[in-house]
Amino acid sequence: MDIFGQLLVNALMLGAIYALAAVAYTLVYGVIQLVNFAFGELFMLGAFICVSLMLPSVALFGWQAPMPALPFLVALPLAVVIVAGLGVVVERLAYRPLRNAPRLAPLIAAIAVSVLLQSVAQSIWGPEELRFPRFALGQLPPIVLFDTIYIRVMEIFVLVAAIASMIGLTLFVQYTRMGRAMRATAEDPTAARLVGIPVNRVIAMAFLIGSAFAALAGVLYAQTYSFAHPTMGFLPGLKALTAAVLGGIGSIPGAALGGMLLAFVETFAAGYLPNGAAWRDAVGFAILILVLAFRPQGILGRKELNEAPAGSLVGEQVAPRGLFAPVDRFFGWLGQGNTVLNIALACIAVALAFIITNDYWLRILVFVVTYGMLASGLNIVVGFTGLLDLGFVAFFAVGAYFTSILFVLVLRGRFGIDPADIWWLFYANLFLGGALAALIGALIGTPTLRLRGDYLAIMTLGFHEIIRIVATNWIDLTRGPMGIRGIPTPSLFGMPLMSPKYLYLLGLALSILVVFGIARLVRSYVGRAWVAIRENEVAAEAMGVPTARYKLLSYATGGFIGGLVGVFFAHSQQYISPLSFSLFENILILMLIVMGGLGTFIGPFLGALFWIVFLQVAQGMPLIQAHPELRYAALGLVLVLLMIYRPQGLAARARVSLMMSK
Amino acid sequence: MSVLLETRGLTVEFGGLFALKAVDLQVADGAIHGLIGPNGAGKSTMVNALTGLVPTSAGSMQLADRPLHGRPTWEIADAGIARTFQNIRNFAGMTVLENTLVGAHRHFRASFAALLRRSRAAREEEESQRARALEALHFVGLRGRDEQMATGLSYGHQRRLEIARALMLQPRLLLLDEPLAGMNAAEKDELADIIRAIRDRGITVLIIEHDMQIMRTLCDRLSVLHHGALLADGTPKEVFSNPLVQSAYLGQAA
Repeated sequence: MDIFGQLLVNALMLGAIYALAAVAYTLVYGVIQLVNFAFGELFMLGAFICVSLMLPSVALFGWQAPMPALPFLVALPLAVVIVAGLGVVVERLAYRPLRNAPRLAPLIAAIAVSVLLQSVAQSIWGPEELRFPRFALGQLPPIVLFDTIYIRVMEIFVLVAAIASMIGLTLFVQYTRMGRAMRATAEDPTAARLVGIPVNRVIAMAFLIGSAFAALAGVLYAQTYSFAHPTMGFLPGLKALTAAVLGGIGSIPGAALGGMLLAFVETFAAGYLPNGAAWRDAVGFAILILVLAFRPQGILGRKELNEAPAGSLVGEQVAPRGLFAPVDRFFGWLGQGNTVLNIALACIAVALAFIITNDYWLRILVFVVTYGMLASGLNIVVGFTGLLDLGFVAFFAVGAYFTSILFVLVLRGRFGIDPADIWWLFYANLFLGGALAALIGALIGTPTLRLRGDYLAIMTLGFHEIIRIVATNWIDLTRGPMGIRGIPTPSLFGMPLMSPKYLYLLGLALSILVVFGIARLVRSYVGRAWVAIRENEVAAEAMGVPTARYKLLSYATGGFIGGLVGVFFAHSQQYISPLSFSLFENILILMLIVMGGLGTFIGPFLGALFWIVFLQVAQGMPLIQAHPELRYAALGLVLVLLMIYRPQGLAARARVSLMMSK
Repeated sequence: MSVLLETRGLTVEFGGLFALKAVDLQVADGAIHGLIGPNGAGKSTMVNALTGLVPTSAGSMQLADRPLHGRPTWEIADAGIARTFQNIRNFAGMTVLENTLVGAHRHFRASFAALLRRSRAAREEEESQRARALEALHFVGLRGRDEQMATGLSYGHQRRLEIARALMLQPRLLLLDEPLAGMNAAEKDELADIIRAIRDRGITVLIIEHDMQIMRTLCDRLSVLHHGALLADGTPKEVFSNPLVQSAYLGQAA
């Protein structure tokens, strides 16, 4: 018997929670084909609101606010209702204006809303865990089976609540007017509208129910693990999405099945594999990638929902008009690809190293070029090829860990070689780290790049999580959460480039090389093939472009740059840890490009400059000093607004020519 | 005349519904071959099946004895079948010239390294394709518009751009899916002349079109699809005098 029985109970519990949250994803995806990444945050908000309602008082924005101290069975439905309403508000404000926009727009908006909600929650409830209060139902003595299995009454409650809501939803979708309207909208929104179905109300309903399910799952999760935390929704949200894809996105029984399956595999892997607890998440994501590679429609999925509609965020040329007119004229002038202008820009960037004497600001410039280069790499994938990549930071991590492990753990640690004697290896590693990242990208991408749009984004997310879990848990290789210290600074013929001034100049030189290289590829048949895929994949394929191969090429080229920048980053910071490579970094880089201008050369650097200077300026504001996370809330908000009003970003007019200059 | 394109028993099925039922089609080398039929007869499905955009459930197709069924779309294009789309699918965010050059994709050979170095071969290749593209734009009547954004073109010019882009493949067979839709009489005549000129360049044309007046004079041969099956086949004269075809068009049970 040993632990088997107990694992079974745990798996059922977790499976019920995953299944509930998976329903949220599946319902909304089924109706409007949007992966609403923000469900993870609605899950978290459900938990926080329920806990707050159950307490006599709670600290909000740092002030003790009186609370009603409701019993669990009252607080739970109340929290679910509040979050359901919030879900509808989010849909109305952030997604409905994007109903007819290219698919990438609502997807990016969803990510931005997710960042926004998480940051706001953190400033309301603070960065600390909020303990789940004790309540009568949770205090009942457990039922003991076979002397070894302990079942708490709450665990039975979770299971019953999950099963009841699933059955309720299935009946609702099958037999009510609204349910039929939902199925009709899922089948064909245009036809549904024509036969008089109020499509907007149906979509709002899907968000209402989905958010309620996410909130219910969040409360039950928080209750099971007895805490609420601003980031608690992230991983379960990802798992729920995995479960939805596993079961077949769009299918409600599929969500239930996928949730249970994922929970069982994870729980038993954690229970029986050596050091399983550390690897349980990796097992889940490995399954996700396998499913996407071999059966993207999932177990019960009816159809392969992977036909991405044509069109991109940057296709339409903007005319200088209104508020942005001066900005547009400026970037139209700046981005015309004039050689003299480009050289002048480079000279100004170099001169900054000598004008600015303050080390603090020079260090900030090092960040600007690092992020600018990273964003340029991701821009190949997102901006030029039009693929959403949420795993780009993994390449950055591969480059950084490759050079750090080689220099610190192998060469110095095992062979006692002084890094000063092999200073040139840093420069070779820029290339090797990039090549390694590109290779890994190609290996992982090969089976999945035939997928379109959203599925690819989910796959890259899974890839990112696996790399992060490896970096955190393979302690012999990466030193785990401690990170790797003492990475040598870059040097030139034995002269260490320690000062921020030299690091900036080195980063700048690399940036110029990177942009130059990207420009040469983009201004050729390769770039034209990428942009053709972005604008209309079917037409590109019909014109003889092997689209899968070119997507892979785009992915690998972006990965190369990610790896290269990782090597530079490791040596310029002298310290790396898994924290530098979180998914949040990836979202940030994505936001930088969108802000600066997708599919332009200057956009990534512009976005990086704006963001990093904003961070510095914001540090002086009292509000930000009290609530630093509001900076990210602002970023999320700006991004949603950009998606609605100006998806082309600031440098929209700096369109890149796709022709080789004569 | 030899046969360029041949299908045998080509069948397309959508969940039990037959969009194409065992179609045997032969297109002679060097012909302008028309594909007509009432709405929903399966004409566009035929073109999509021929270019691998719709999976076939049975049958075969070959281009000059090279079997192509089941091949991916890009490979079919690479083998020499170019096409335009019923709903225009030009690339937004690209200039007219850049659009046209995408059609030349299969002629480019330069490696990544050559592009990064911008080797002489890479430059020459780009230059010669650029010259070809300008020539193709001139040919379809878009001279001087190469720097314009494709989305800024008028509807009729967008259709011409699609043809120029398809010609860049140097195809053996060009599939035109309703290229004359939405045009006035003068524009239709101009485009018909362009289609004849394409044929005179040695490119076989398979065209779907509803305007029977034009098709009667433009096409060397016609095939009629009705409810997904091949109803008739022959010269325009033969086809239009066929009672089966007449009843199909008048909507009676054939």
